[in-house]
Amino acid sequence: MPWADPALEPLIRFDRVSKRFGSAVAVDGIDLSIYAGEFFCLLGASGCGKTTLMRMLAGFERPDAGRVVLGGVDLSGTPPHKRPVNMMFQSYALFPHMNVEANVAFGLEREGLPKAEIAARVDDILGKVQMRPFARRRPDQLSGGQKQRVALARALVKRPKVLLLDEPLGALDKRLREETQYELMELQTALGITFLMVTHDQDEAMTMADRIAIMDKGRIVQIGTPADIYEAPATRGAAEFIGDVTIFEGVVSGRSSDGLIVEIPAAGTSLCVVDGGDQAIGDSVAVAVRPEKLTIVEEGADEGPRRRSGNVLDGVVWDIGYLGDLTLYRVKLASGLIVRVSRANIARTIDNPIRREDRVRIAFDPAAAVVLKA
Amino acid sequence: MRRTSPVDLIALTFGFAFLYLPILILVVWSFNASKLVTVWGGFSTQWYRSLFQNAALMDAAWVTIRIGLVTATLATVLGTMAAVALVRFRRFRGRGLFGALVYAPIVMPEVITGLSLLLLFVAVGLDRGFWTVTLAHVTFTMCYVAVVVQARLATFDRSLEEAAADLGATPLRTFFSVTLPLIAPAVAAGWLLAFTLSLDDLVIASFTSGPGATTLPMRIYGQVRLGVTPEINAISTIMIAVVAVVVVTASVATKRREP
Ligand SMILES: Nc1ncnc2c1ncn2[C@@H]1O[C@H](COP(=O)(O)OP(=O)(O)O)[C@@H](O)[C@H]1O
Ligand SMILES: [Mg+2]
Repeated sequence: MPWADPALEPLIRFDRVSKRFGSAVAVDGIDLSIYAGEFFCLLGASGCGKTTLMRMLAGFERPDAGRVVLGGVDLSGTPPHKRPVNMMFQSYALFPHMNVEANVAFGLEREGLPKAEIAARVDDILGKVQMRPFARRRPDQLSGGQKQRVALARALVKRPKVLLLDEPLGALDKRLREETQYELMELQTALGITFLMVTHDQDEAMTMADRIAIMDKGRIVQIGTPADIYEAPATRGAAEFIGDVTIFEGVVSGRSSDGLIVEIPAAGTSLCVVDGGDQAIGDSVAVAVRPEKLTIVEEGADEGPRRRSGNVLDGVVWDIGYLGDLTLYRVKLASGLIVRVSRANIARTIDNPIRREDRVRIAFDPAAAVVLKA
Repeated sequence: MRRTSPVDLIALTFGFAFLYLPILILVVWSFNASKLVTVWGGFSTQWYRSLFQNAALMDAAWVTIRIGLVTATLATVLGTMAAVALVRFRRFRGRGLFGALVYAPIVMPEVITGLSLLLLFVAVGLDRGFWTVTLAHVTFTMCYVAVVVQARLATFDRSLEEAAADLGATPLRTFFSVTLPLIAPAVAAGWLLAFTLSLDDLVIASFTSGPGATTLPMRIYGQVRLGVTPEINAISTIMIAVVAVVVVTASVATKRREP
């Protein structure tokens, strides 16, 4: 894990970088280090400044404040055509008056390479993205998926230090998107090029990235591996942005040997959760629980050995979503709060399935929840 | 589709008659065998033949074509540059003023443009002739080129230029490899427009021309004051044909290849 090694110099460093358009702040003092070989993802809602941050690395936007450093070199003043990074544009931006081959060769011709080498490298990369048979086609004769591959090949053939991908799969349909996700990951591993990808799709980020930076309103909310962010979100916003979650709002009322006691008005009881370490009695907090961390049983059913410290809530099944591999239950508590619970469908049939409007009992361990600032 | 009513049909007929009847009459008379302009003496192409023996008219035609070619080329280069500057560098200081200044000659009365250019040429001591007419034509036709090219650039996908830069192309290389090929139809249309504008300009040429640089419109105008000859009809017909071909070519050029 390169990011865990303090001695290692990052490949890309954003150093207190800010960018405003008129009065609107698009990027607000961002510090970010990305290491060689990483698949790094900028994740955030539309308009949060992801593209702007990436464009400052490519050189299309000039930071109002701060520096962008690549491989130890400050890029300020280096025009886009001299930066050793390449970008795959959201719109692909294929040159409509050139065929696939000419599009891919364009960047190599700018380097002044010999014709034979250009031809060999173009052919090689077109093979890698399975576009060899379409080398003579013009962009308007290609499907969306094929255009995406050509755009990828055109950027990769330059062997950049960093490949920038702006919503690379945004224009593809769902099935193609999933296939392409894995292809991109394999390509990245095979070529060893650092990828910096922008997306607003959390599943895509979780699947593909080594590390994710969650952005909101021009700032970074949290940086971490997908597992870090999922299991230990830094803020309520991060918890809600990645994956499903139920948030219980409450007030810290005491401590037990298992952790904090949090009084939850909406649950009509108190919950016991593992201490985050920075909460004091009387603080308003949010307790976040992922759906798969909860168990659900019909009321009155044999619950097995009751955990001494387990948090138990009663409610009514409000909605059931059958997803094949999982079933999602939305359980309504007496207060009206909806709790999301998922259960893996391990067996093909269940003797006593839970149905809508059944009274159920849900439970979770103190260690399964995360305490966050309200 | 709605059926065409007789009223529409009549309006259409009158409209087109109004526009094209004078031209049609001119074309018909140019094939008149009689020397008398208003008496039909049968079909003949003799005036077209005698035209080519008329040295004064032929000189004027040759001067006009040369002025037109040089004007169109210079105006296209300058007009395209102005259009790129206006569309691309959105936030440069004085953009609004620059934009207005480029358009001003389009609405300026030609007499004033001609007079002011004459004053300029006199002031700087430039001998009036081929180059003064050409410079004058460049100044007023480049605005039209700028307008045509700017319209095309306004719908141009900027990310294509960014992609070129990203792949290592210098701004100049980007312009010639990506921008220019894609706006070529508009640039060609601008060239043709500048050529026809230069071809049929009378007022500005009259102000800025000098000895040895009499253009065809000037020559025709001068002769017509002494009486219309069938030769004038013939040369005018040829000009109409040239302009028609150029205009049609220009409109085809701009239609094609647009997304
Ligand atoms: N060229 C620009 N001019 C003005 N505002 C811009 C420009 N580019 C981006 N913005 C604004 O900056 C903010 C961030 O945009 P962007 O980086 O594209 O967000 P994202 O990629 O996360 O959707 C948005 O509010 C957007 O409207
Ligand atoms: Mg974006």
